[in-house]
Amino acid sequence: MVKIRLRRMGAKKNPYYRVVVADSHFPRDGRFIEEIGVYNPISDPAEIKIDVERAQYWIKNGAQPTDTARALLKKAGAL
Amino acid sequence: MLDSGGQMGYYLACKVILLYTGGPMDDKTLEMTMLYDFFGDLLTEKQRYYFDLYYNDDLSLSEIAEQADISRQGVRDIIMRAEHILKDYESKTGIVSRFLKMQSDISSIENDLRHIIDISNGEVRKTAEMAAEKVENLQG
Repeated sequence: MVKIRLRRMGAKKNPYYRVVVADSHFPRDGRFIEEIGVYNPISDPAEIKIDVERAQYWIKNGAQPTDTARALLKKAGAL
Repeated sequence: MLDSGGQMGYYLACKVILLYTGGPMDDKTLEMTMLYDFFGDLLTEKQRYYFDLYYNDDLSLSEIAEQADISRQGVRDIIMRAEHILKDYESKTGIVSRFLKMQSDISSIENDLRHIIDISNGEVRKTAEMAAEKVENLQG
């Protein structure tokens, strides 16, 4: 199954996330199919960048967002 | 971080780029992430492994359970225990809350210094500039 999830990047004490499309069978080795956005919860205001078109494309093709990813996509108007 | 020019180009090409106040990530996730960054080394390797998958890789309990070949409840127990331990360290030391308070005070001091630089000149301005530089280093 293809998932849309957040993947943490950034230094310690300064979290920063990529929103990625990834196969649920290889979540741990760092591979992903496509990056569709970034999220910085620490900046004020929190920064969300989502490629809405690609997000919608993947969802239409059956990609399942995680709860956190879903909340982000909603904010960005992709859902 | 965005690491290549190509990637930046792709963001500029995004149809919709949005900035929002107040992120959708719930407070607990952020809190746990910070606690883990400060106290994670004090957890066992196993606790770290599951905690990391859950909070940093955004895997569900069932996905972790499937990968690790243990029950979903087992994964949940390990993570909740780790959360409890991290919270306990924080309640005893207050390190994370002090860190966050300092971060916010530092950036407010920096704003004040920028303001002083804007409205002053000569010796005062020079001193404020030097102070601002030091403050900036503190944030790095």
